[in-house]
Parts: sequence; C-alpha cells; structure tokens
Amino acid sequence: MRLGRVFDDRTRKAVTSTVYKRTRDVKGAIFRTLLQVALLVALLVLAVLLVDTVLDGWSVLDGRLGDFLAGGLRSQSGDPELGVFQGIRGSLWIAVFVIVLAFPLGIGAAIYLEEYAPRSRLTSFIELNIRNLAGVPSVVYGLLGLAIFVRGLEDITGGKSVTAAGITLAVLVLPIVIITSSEAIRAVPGALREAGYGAGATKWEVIRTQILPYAAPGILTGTLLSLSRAIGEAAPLILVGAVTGFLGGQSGLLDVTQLQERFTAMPIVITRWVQQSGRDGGFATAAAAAIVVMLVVVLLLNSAAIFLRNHFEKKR
Amino acid sequence: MTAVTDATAAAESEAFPPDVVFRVKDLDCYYGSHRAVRYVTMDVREREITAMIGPSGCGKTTVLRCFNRMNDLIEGARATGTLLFRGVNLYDSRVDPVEVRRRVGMVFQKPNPFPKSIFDNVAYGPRIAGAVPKRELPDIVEASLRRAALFDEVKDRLKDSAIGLSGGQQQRLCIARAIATSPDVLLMDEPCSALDPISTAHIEELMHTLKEEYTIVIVTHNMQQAARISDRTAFYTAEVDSETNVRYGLLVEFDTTEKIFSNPSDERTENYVTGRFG
Amino acid sequence: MTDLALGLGGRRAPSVAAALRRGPPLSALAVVAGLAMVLASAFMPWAVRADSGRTANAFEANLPWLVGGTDLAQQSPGSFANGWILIAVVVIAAAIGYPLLAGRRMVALPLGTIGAISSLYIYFTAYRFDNQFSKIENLAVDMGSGWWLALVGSLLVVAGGVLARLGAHSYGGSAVVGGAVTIEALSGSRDRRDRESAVRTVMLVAALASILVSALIILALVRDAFTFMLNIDWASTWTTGWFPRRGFYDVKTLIVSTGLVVGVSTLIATPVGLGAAVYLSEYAKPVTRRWLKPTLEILAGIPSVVFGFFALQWISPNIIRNIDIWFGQDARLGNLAAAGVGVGFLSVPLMASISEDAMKAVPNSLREASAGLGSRKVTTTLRIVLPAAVSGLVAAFIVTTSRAVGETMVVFIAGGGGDTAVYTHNVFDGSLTMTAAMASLASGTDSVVGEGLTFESLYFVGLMLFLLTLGMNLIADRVVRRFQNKY
Repeated sequence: MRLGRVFDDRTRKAVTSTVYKRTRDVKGAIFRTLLQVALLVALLVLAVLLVDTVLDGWSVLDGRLGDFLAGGLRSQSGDPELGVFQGIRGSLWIAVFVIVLAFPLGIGAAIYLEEYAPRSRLTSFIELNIRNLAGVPSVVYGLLGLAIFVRGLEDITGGKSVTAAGITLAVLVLPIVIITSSEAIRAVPGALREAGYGAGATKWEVIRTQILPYAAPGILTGTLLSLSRAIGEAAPLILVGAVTGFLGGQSGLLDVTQLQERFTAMPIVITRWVQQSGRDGGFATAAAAAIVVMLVVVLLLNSAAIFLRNHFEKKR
Repeated sequence: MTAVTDATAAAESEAFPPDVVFRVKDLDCYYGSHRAVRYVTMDVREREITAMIGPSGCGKTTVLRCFNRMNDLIEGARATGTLLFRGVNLYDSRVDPVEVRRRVGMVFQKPNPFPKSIFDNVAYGPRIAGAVPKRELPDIVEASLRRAALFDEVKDRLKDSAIGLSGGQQQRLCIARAIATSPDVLLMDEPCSALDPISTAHIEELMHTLKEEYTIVIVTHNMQQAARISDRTAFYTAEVDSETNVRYGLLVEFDTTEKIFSNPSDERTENYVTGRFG
Repeated sequence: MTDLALGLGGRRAPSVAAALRRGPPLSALAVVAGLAMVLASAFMPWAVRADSGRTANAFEANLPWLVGGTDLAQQSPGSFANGWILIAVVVIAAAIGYPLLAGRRMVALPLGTIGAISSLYIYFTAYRFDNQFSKIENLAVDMGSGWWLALVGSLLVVAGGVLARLGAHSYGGSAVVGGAVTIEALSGSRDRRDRESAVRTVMLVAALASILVSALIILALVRDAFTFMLNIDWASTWTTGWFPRRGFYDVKTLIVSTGLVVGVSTLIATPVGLGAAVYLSEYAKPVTRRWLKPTLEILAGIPSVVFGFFALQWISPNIIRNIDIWFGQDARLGNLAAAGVGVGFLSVPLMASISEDAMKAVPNSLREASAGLGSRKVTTTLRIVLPAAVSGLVAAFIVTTSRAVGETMVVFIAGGGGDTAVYTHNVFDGSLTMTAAMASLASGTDSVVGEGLTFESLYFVGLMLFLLTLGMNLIADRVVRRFQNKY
C-alpha cells in the first residue's frame, strides 16, 4: 500500500508544516546564554587578574627587573636593593626537595598500587588514605612540618630551615604525585602487559620496559603539576617558619650551607609585601612584580604539563 | 627440596612418554570460588597442532592460559588437578611462572606488538632473558622473522615502529617475538580472529611450517580452521551446574581431528561440528 | 646438584666457589674497597685546625657529629658516640652487602643506596662542622684526610652497587632456553627472583610512606591539641573574640567567619563552575573545548597567594566596596566578602573539572535516547544528563567546599583579620577564619610565642580543621565511588 493513499492532502500539509516549522527554542537559548556567561566570568576573572597584576607591577618589571631579581628583603619599598633573590633561592631548594623526595616515592607508590598490590583490605586502605591526604588542607601539612620536621627532627633539619620546609612540601604533594601517576599507569593497555609477560618477562621487567615508558608522559604531567603546586604553596611555609621579615646572610643560589638555615620563599615574600602594602604603598607594586615572576615559572610548568598531556592523548 | 619429592619427580619423568609435552589430568580452573572449567584431561603431543574448539564461555582460553601460567596474573585464578609439562608439575610451588613462559610462548587474540621498533619487538625476549651477547641479537631477530615469514616484508625497515604494520603483519611479528626465545611450545589464543581472510591464510600456512619445530596449541572459534590445520582437537562446551545454577566449561571429547569431525563419539560434539548449535 | 644439571638447566646462581673461580667481579672489588675506606676513615683525622694544626677524628668528642649547634667548648671529652655511629653504618652496610659476593647481585642496589645516604650525611655534617668552627671561634678549619677518605669510600660503594646493577643483565649465565625440563630448570634464576622481591619491597615501602604521613599528621595534631583541651578553661573558648595571646580562644568567631567565607565562595564557585562544566561537556564544539579546557586548567594552576593579592587589591576596592556602599556601610579594604569572592574564583576550576568528569561519565546512549524521543538539548541536559550525574556533582560540591574551608592564603591576606579578631557575622567586616587564625598565630612574631596555651591552640584549631575536611572528603569519596559503580 502506498503512503499517498493513506494520507490525504490535509494530513500531509499538517505534517509538512510541523516538520518544517522552526519553533523558537527560547528556553534553550536562555540556558545556553547562562552557561556562556558562567564560562565568560571565569575567563574574565583570569584575564583581569593577569592584566591587573602585570599593570600593578609594571613599573618594577619595566624599570629595574635585573636588580629586582638580584635584590633582597628590605624594610622600605623605595630601597633600590629591594628584590626577590632570597625568595627564588628558597623556592628553588624546595623544588629540589620535592623532586628528590616526592617524585621517586610517589611514582614508587603508584607502581605498587597499580601493579603489585593484591586486592586486600590494606590496599584499599592505602588508596583511601591517599585520596584523603590529597584533600587535607595545606595548613595542616604546615602543622605536621612544624611538629615533626622543625621540632622533632631539629638535629637533622636544623629547625626552621629550608630542609624542613622542603620535606613538608614534598609530603604535601606526595598524594598528588601518587594519584596522577596511578592514573597514567592505569591507562596502559592490558594487552601490552600480557605481551610482556607472554614473552617471559618478570613483573619488574614488564614495568621497566613496557609500562613506565608508556606511562611516562602522564607521569611527567602529574609531576610537573605537583611541582608547580609546591612552588606556589605558601600556607605550610608560614607554619614551618619561613622568614617574613629581614633575612640576613646572602649565600649563593646553590650554596649547600643554607639547607639548615632560616629561609624564605617566593609566595612568602609576596604575602609579606601584600601585608605591608597598607603601611607602605610601594610594596603593592613590588608584590605584583614578584607575583609576575612567580607566575611565569608556575604557569610555564603548568602549560608544559598540559601540552604534554594533550599531545600524547592525541597521539594515542 | 627433599629426597622423597626428588624420587617422585624422577619416577614421574621416567614414566613420562617423550613425545608428550603437556599431560592434563582432571584439571579444574577456578576464579575465586567459581569452578569455571572442570574435568579437563588431555595430552598435547610433540610437533603436533592441538586445537581447542567450542562455543564462547566454555573455558578454552582459560585452559590455554594454564599452560604457561598466564592465569596467575588474574587475581583469584587458580587451578587444581594435574598439569605436567614434560613430566614436571607446572603448578609446583618451586616453579617460576616466568621461566615457564619463556619455554611456552604465547600469541594473543589481538596482535599486541610493543610500541617499539620491529627489531626491538623481536629482540625483547632474548634481551630480558639476558645471556645473549649483543652481537648475536641481529641473527636471532632475523632467524625469528624468517621463521615467521615476515623477514622479506620488513627487512628494510627493522628500525621502524611496529605499530605501522598491517594487522596480519603485526600478528606474524608477535609470532616472531614468541619464537625468538626459542620456546618449546607455542600457545595461540584465537590468533586469526582479528584478521582478514588473506592474513588468516598466511598465518595458517605459517603454522604448518612451524609445526616442524614447535608444538602448537591453538584456541579457535573457527571450526573449519581447526579441521584444516590441527592434528588433534579438544571439544569444550558450557553447561549449567544443576545445583548452583552457575555456568561452567568442560572438556567433552578429545581425539584426532579426523575422528572429531567425521565420527565423534559424543552427541554434543556431533551437534556442534555439524552446526546444530554454537 | 650435579654439574650436569647445572649445565643443562643452568638456572641456579653460581655458587660462591664458582664465582671466585671466575674471578671476583669489579663491582664487588669496588664495594669492598669502599667499605674498607669508610671504616678506616673513622680513625683518621676529620678536621684540622688551621692555627694549631690540631686534628680530630670521628671518635674525638669535639666533632659535633649529630649534635650540630652545640658549642664546641661545652662538649665533654671522652664521648665516643660519634665514631660508633659511623662504624655501625659501615657494619650494617657490610652485613647487607655480604650476599653480593655470593652472587646475589640485586642486593647491590639497596647497598648502593646506603652508600649514597652515608656519603650525603658525611657531606652535610662536614659542612655544618665547618660552619660551627668558623662561626664560634673564628677559626679556619680544613677537612682532614679521614673526611675525604669517607667520601671517596662511599662513592666507591655506590659505584660498585651501580656497576653490579648494570651487570645483572649482561652476565646472567643461562642460555635462552633449552635443556631438559626439570623442576630445577623451571625454578628460574635466583638472581631474578631476588630482584623481583627486592623491587616489590621497595615499592611497598613507598606505598606505606603515605600511611606514615597520615599517622604523623594525626600524631602531630592530637598530641598538642590534647594538651590544649586538657588544660584549657573551656569558658575562654566561648567569648566575644579570638585573642590567643590574651588567653581568649573564641572558637565561635573562627567558625562563623569560616562559614561566611565558605558561603560567599560557594555562591560564586557553584554557578560559575557548574555552568562552565555543563557548557564544556554538553555544548562546546571540540575546537572550542581544545582551548577552553587548558585555559581553565591554567586558572587552576594559579597559586592562592595570587588570588589573595587579587582579592585585596582588585576585588575589594572595585566590587565589594561598591556593593557595601549600597548597604550604607563602609568596608575596610580587607574583609570576609572579598576573601570569599577570591576563594570562590579559586575554586571554580576545581568545581568545573570534577563536574565535567561526572557528566562525561554519563554514557552517550542516554543522550541519544533522549534526542531520539524528540527532546531539545536543554531538556536532555536538565532532565537526563544532570540527574544521571548528580552524585558526581554532589561530590564536586563537597570537595570544593572542603577546599574552601581549608584555603588559607586568600583569607589570610584579604580577610582583614590581624593577629586577633572580634566576633562578627557581618560579611563586610574583617575577621579571622580557622585557617587565617593559624597562619597569623604562626607568623605574627615570626614564631609562635605567647602566654600559656597559645602554641597549643594552633594545633587545636588545626585538629578541628582536619576533622572537618576529613569528614567532608570521606563523604565525597563515598558519593564518588557510588557514581563510578553506576555505569
């Protein structure tokens, strides 16, 4: 039976008009606009933040960037020797501690959890514990650092030193390293593992020759992100006693003796200057300039991580 | 180790016929508490192709993976019963599964080359096993690729990534990788199911030549394939436990391929090979 | 076992005698020499005073070993502890290193690590030693031959370990395959099994480190918090303000201001974050997504101090004060509202990324089914996708809130609290949240000092904060597990 005989002309007209009629989707348009506004607000804040900070700090960045990078903490914002050298030095050493302590420990833990761990109570407890550690506020890590690394292990760390701060921040980012590395290892296809075992490799050989190379970009992404987090983190440093006032003793960037001495770091320098800006407005400019210096490093690390991940995600 | 077990082992190996590679007796495979495959009894003979056929979910692959203890990698998987490899109990506590896998190579359902060069893929096994001087590696790689009938196609691009090969080439590369450690046995888990008919024909041809040097156990869904290439065939099926209402696999019949396909003794086998179910 | 079996199976590690017949490997020689040098170094001069030429070895009491910071002159003579520590390190290293000679090369790895640790230790203490001398007595001190010997010895041990580790592959001693199949042949090589279990142990230790961290956190918090709770006059925790140095610890002040900040931040982060997530997951074209997501991730990477600065310098004068004038008040530059807005924007990327993950986990078949029934996109999103993802969204909300509770720097910088705070429930006032109170306690005078229980109050607040966020995270974790199991 042909359709033409069933539908008379009137029905056909009605159907045609319904199909071709474009009702205006008012609700949909409003909803979409609202969503776009939300996104726009987020992006706008980012833009304003970046532009405002750069503008605030421009006089320093443009005028005396070299001196600013080489200078130290001073009590007057007009001091020509005011600068962030000590902050850079402290942050650099903190980064060294994070790389030396948190990366191997975190990647090792991730390998254990993904490749070795049996499905047991202990394993799920460790996993739960790591997820919770990732959510513990950073000040609490500061308390941990103060109680254990500053006071408990004073003999080794030298008290309120960059060693204590470095260990504290390494512990702080440890769960992030573990979680991101675990995800990267979990993304390795099972066929690759089977192929390795089938060829007579032991577990460690499979991990070393197949899993780690495949997961390397993902692991690197996680470690870069955690490094940038550690560099920007301020709260725990306040607790473990980063110097907020004057810091004497201008030892060099790589001088090992400072490991057990008082220290400061970039985010602390910024905090201090922002707080002093009420008393001496010039410090607001200095703080903005210091923020730009720190953001350049942090955002470079982040962008590298994001780029790496997207690049390798696309390739697979 | 004690003298008693030594003596037993010696007695076992004396009694063990030299042309039998695997002797399976009343093998049961478990996943956790689930007894997934039951009552498997069969002999795999030297330089023969033994095929395992049956509907999906009947435990063919599970049994195959017992032969090189790949099942150890699945949590909760274990096996009971007897599984002798040239007279040695494969599930003896002293046996290192890694060592077993070097002597019993495996080719998987989907070609799974490493994301490395063709050369590195084949050289992987010998390298991790150590003991092969570096200068001998190219010879081993070439010999393995030749035996896998792949060398002429790839000899100019050994340093290229293996991912760039076609599916059929990848599978032959995987075979080359498996024979590079000169194993005793090759296990093949539906090696052609992901391949087109021409590549399948290639692989089947290859298996015929490999048979002269290796013992091959193959799991296949394809009855014609089993009939074409194998010397002996094991027919598995899935049944439901009347008490616990759980599906399990079991070995129905094991005999020469000719007998299985022309004159099976079990009715279930006949129904399957004549296409009445499955 | 007979030689025949060895020859055929060849999978057992060679015996000590066999190894010696082949000649000891270079790595073992290096390790033995290194250990000997470290051992000998304890008796050699470690420090030489430039003026008098007087030397001190590891057994001399005036070597400030482990007790750095102590004045040299104050140490009593005849203390032998320092040298014994060195000797103990060497003996333990040797005990662990012994199997190396028996052909179990994998053990060389931990041995090398021990060598590295001891060399670092020597390095640092010597530096400190140098400093102590020069600072206190203004004396020039040279490193003695013992110090150099210990350093070279440790490095040798490390080098030997590394060498053995590298060599583990090159002379395994077994043919690829072949020979009779015997139980011995199938037992694999001992070296390999040793290496496997050593690696596994190392990885397990790394995983257990996280438990140690948790235990230490709880230990650190509970010990001092208990001191506070046992000794505090509980009336002082319910007054009109937070004046820790005067003994008034009004918890109510901190909790109410924390609530205000979190409330404001939630008002910002939830709509903005959720909206961005819905747009990214349901509406954005792949091209748009490709640059929008990284941009949001950049926002996520901005340190919280920066948001603190931004809240104080831009949000507060440009937004909050204008709103406040509307209410007929005149807010100070630092106030809770500005801090809340700052925390809110800080939390947007977190909220967005967890919500987006939750929505991405909703299978496409549901969207197609809904579209196939003639729903518009907005209907599909609101009626199908969001309800299906609801547990993930709830988790995102809880996690974001918990992060806001724990956020410190924004509130510390822009919250308008000093060292002390008066109780307020006006969001345009300045006050201290729990986190800001902790930061100001620790930073006010460069270190925590004060009357009575000031220091312990830091831990008391920390414990409250820890328990609060832990509870929220546990709940969020439960919710997330549930939504992961659903599909």
